[in-house]
Amino acid sequence: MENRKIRVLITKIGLDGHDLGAQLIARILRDAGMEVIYLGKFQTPERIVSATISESVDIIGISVLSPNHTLLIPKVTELLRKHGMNHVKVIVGGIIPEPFASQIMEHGVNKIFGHHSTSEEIINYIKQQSIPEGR
Amino acid sequence: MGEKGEIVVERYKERAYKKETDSGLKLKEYYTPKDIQKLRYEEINDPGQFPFVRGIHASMYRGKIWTRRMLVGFGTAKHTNERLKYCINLGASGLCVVCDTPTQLCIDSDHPLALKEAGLVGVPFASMRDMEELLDGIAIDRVSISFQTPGDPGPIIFSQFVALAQKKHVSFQSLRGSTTNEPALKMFGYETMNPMDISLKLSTDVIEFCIENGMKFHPVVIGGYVFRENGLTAIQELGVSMAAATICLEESVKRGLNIDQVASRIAMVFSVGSDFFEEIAKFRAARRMWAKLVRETFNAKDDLSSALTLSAHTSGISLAARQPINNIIRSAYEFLSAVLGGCQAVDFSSYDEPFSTPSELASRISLNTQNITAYETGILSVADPLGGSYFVENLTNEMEQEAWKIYDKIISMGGLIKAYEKGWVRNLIEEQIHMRQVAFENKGRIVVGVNEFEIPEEEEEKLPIHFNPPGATEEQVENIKRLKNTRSNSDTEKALKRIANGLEKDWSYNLIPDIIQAVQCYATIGEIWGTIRKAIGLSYDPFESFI
Repeated sequence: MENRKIRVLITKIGLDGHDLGAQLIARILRDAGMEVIYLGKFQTPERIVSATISESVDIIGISVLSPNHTLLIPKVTELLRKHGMNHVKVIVGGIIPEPFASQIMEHGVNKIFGHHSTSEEIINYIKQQSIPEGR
Repeated sequence: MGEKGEIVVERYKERAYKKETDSGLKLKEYYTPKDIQKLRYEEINDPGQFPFVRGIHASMYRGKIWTRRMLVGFGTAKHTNERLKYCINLGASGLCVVCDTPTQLCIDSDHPLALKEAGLVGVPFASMRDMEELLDGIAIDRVSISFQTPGDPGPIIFSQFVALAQKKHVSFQSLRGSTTNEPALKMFGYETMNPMDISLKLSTDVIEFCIENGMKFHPVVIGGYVFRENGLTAIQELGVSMAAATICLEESVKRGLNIDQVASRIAMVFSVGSDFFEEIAKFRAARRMWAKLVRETFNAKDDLSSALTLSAHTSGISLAARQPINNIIRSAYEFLSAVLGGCQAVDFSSYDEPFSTPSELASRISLNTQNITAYETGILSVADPLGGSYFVENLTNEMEQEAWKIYDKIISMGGLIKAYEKGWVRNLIEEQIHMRQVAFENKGRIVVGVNEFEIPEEEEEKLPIHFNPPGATEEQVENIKRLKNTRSNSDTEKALKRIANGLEKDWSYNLIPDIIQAVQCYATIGEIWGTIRKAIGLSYDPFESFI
């Protein structure tokens, strides 16, 4: 169990097709030794949560570059709660101006990484999120 | 000496020069006649003369200032219409409209996946009603309009525009502007659920329709901007753009169209990045590459068909979210490269690009950057002012040579589509974007205010950003539902049936006249593409498996 790699789901949400950031992060996390499940574009909250369950994911990383974030991301956290997946952390990367950033944090997003975040910051943050016992 | 003094001393000793351009070409300390001794004047020639390195018109900006544009698209068509008029009042000499994500993917605003997306990052073109409202009160026979509609919506939006002209009794010949209508963009981030062959067929239908009707309108704009913003270098942007154009040219020739007529209607839009001279050289090199491509590879006879109409969009990827006022300066320099490079039209990624679609203020600053350049700097009085510079001519030559290598590589793989299918495009993008990030993190690439010259978080500039009009998405969804209930549905169905029948005929049967009839009956983009998909054996709803 000790050697179990951290499992991260990287995904886009909604119809925005700008996925370079998501692809870049997927590569950076893989290079850092994590298990990355790359879900790709056009994902719905339902599909994201369903993949989270079937892939036993520890962390969901959602890349957002459209103002659809406040409408779709709370749905992800709501569905996670509904399925008893409270141990799964949700991080968001992309363009989230205020007051939307605060709004989605209130809905249970654990961390937002912005334009200026470095690979190191993101990797360190994820590594600090320890895998819950018994998994 | 205190700590601050030490910093000043260190700063005094700094060197900011680069040994290479952003594309990786080596730079010397200075250039001399030796660097261009093999260059014959005919290889650059006068402005307005083959191979058009120095510009496509003899008089250049004396004859006509570049078309000053600002990208617009948000909320409903009515919201975007208001912003277009705002831009016209601020000196825009052409319009530039971007579609929303449901339109990009050819689904209607009331599609289950579109309900929270309509009008968020562009304007919906779900039906011709949207086109009518978008251009209400705008003289479409006199204004150049660029529809930034990557990939598959292009032919439908083109048909809506032409149908609107018919309704307003405006001749097709007086329409100016462009639709992106560029299938290659589907390989660079603008994927749709529709296969490449049908996209390419419809794109070619638009080209053919424009030629048959003697239109000045550009049916295709090759999207160098999109290739570049995927992380490619300026040289790669050139090579890939020529390969993308080759797809359109080959397909048109296969259709039996006249190469001179086709080539003269194809335009290109390039990004303008931050390496000032490299970008200028790129535009100059692009024109020479195009001139050679259409004359030597495609046997064009008319010199004018080898004159490439170029537009530029200042780079979005070069802008920063930290100290965003700096972005005004970045865009201004990029824009200057575009003008010194001889572009016909320019639009901006505005300073608030890292946060939102452009605010009114950002649109105004972007247009005024162009107005100040046009009216205060005197920069447009002489064509190609850098022509003959040892450095710039040498750089133009080197960029062209390197870009042909990329072009040849793509062609040797069987063309851009085959290269994409082999994973070459994806690998290239992934590699480039990764290198870009590494360079940023190890400070090989300095971005002022972000990884150098930072200020404390609390001192960061707070800018007014654009928020979408509240309720606009819901309003659009209701509009399209109402339309579907109030139009004559039997007429719409008949028109859609004609499109399906058309597809059963020869593949070269031009569908645009049938699509025009369908949009006149207010058939929506989702219905038209759904009909097309079904006729070629696909699911009506492209996102059937996603819901």
